[in-house]
Amino acid sequence: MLRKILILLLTFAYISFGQDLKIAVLSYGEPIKEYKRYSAFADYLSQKLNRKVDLIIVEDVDKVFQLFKTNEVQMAVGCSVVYFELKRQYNVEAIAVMKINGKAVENGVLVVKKDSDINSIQDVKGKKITLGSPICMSNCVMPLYMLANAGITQHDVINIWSSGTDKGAILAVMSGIADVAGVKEESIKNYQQHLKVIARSPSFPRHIIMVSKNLDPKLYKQIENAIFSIDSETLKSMEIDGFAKPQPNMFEIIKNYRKILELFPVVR
Amino acid sequence: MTYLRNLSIKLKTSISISVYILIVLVGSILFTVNNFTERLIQDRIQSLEENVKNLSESYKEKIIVNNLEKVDELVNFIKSIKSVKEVFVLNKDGTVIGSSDLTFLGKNEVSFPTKNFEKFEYNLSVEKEPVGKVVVLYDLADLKAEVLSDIKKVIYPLSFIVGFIILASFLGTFLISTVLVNPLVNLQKSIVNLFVAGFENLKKSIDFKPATKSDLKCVKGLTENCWLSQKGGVDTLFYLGDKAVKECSKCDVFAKLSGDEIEKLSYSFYVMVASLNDYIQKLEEAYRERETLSCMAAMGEMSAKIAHEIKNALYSISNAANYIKNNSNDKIIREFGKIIKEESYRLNDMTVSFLNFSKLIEPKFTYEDINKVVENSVSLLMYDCEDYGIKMELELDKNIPPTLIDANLMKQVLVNLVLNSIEAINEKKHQNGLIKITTKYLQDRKKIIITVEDNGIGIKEEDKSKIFKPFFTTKPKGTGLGLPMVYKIIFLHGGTVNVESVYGNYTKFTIEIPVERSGRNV
Repeated sequence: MLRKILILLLTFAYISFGQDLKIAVLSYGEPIKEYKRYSAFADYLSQKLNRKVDLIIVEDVDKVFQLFKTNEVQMAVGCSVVYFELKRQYNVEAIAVMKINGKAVENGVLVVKKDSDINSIQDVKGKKITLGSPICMSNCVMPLYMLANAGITQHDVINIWSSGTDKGAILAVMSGIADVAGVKEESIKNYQQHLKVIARSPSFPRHIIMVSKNLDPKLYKQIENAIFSIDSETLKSMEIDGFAKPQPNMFEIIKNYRKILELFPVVR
Repeated sequence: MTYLRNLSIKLKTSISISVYILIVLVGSILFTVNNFTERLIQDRIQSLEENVKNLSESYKEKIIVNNLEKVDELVNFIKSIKSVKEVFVLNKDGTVIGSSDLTFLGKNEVSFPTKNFEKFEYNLSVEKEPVGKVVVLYDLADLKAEVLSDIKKVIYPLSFIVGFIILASFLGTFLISTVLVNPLVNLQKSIVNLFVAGFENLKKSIDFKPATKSDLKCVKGLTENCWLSQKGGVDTLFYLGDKAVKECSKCDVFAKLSGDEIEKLSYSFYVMVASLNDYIQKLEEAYRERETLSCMAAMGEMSAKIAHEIKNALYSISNAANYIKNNSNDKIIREFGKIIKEESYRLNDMTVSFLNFSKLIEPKFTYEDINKVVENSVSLLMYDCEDYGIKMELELDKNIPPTLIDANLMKQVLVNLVLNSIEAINEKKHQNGLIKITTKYLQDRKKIIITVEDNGIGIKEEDKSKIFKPFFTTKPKGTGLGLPMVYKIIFLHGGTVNVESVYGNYTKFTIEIPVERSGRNV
């Protein structure tokens, strides 16, 4: 009799608390800071969904793909490119886009030293180019998108490589190691007196909250509702203004990103 | 200066020691600060260089691969070291790839600002192949200020400790000084009391508690217990008087009981007061004696003048009486003439005796055998004694050394005393009259005792205090100058005369004269 009561209680507890959720967050170079920011988000979701929500900070984008492949995570935070790949491979959907400084979109830029003789994207030919990341939308795909649109391929430049971070790329330009840097527009805020922008990309979504469509639709809906009813305290901890609903046109520019990358095989 | 001079010893000592400690501590601190500042600066520079080396080594790989974000991290780390003003990281080509001032990125070393800054360079290498360099510019003034600031942080609490030590030493010294000075204060009060109470009552100036509860025997045999351990120690001390000065200062028991140096000083003062009391008493005695002698001298001088005049008159009276006695036919007138002549002669004898007594005696001291002087004196009166049937006994000490005396004067003394004895025996009408003369040498006291004893009528009790006064006599024809003359001569010899007598039985005169001091310091 006692055993039956115990089994009933455990069953009730499992139903009540539900399946655990795990969120993979792609780090952009500041894992501690990112852990703090998204811990608040995970705690909030855990409270709202009445289930445990764990956080995994990941440095390598391939690791994110791996986690979805093995069903170890159900949610992710990353850039548009990551979303595009996850959607293509693992049935993941963008559920919200983060708003920072009131904007849900951002831009990539190509920058050179203030005193550089490079004044337009056409002058980039025959120069050394560095990127802030090997894959991200803002500091890799978008700079390459701008070069491709200007008819510049890998063969037209001396060298093109990833510095790992926007700051690294900017410093490489300022040190003369690189002539041009492709970075997120917001990254040049502290270096504006040393740099000049020679090209600016179209806007694209910022960090995207992605959720696997393989989840229970009811839970999926609960997650969506929780995100859009998030309290200001959690937003403050996440250092964002809020969330925006992802619109299909936001991702138009990403559709052909693979073709762009193919023009620059050394980046991959 | 006058204000400081008037401060009490307690305050002077406390202030002096506090100032001394202050000078020593502040001096030590300043010396330490002065010596260690340079060393600390060198240590800081060394520490800075070590930090730069270690950080640079840990980021060497990032420099080699041009990971500029990490290089920037290195720059920021080094820049966070205090006093570092600029940091430059150069790659192997000498191009700045990391800098605290972004305007230097891409430039070479030549362009670095070196104005007022110290420069430290650290070359990075792999298997002796240079792979880059880290250049740090730091401000030595900042470093010094930093060191001084750190020293100040130590000095401030140290100042409180110094203050506390000074306060504690001041209070401690004040307390110890109070304990040390109190006996001196008491001594000073005793001295003041000495003058307030006057020399007539010196005991009042002394106030001390017995040094110990246990009685300690006086090892010098002056009293039963040491006066320091007695309840009525002051009375004992005054009883001892001058002896205390001579004996107590060498006594181990006194040294043991009298405590430390200051207490010893107090007790020595008390001993000195007791000795002073002794001397004052002796002085008073001498003063009274001198007064008596002065009076006697004045009287004598005046009396001598009168006596001289009387003698002249008596000469005329006796001549006139003689003439009347020889030339008058009237028997009664002749009888009266005879009486006048005899009385004139008697008065003349008295006057001569008095004149002799009142003369200023100037003794002529020579070393003499006192026994011979006695024998010569006795021989002069031997026949008188035989006439009256009086036996003379001599008991002379053969060990008497030659003594400095005036032999004639001493002979006069003995003759006077023996004549008195003869008269006393005659007055008693004694059939077995005896006069005994003795001499004795007190070797330890360096004194000679001469006694003249008879078994005559003796001296009445009420007359004993008068016998040495001039003109006092119990004899019908006496001048009253014999014993005063004896007293005068013995006094001139620095000695004393005492009389012991029982009326109807005996009389004994005892003369005590010093062997060495005889005739000196009179």
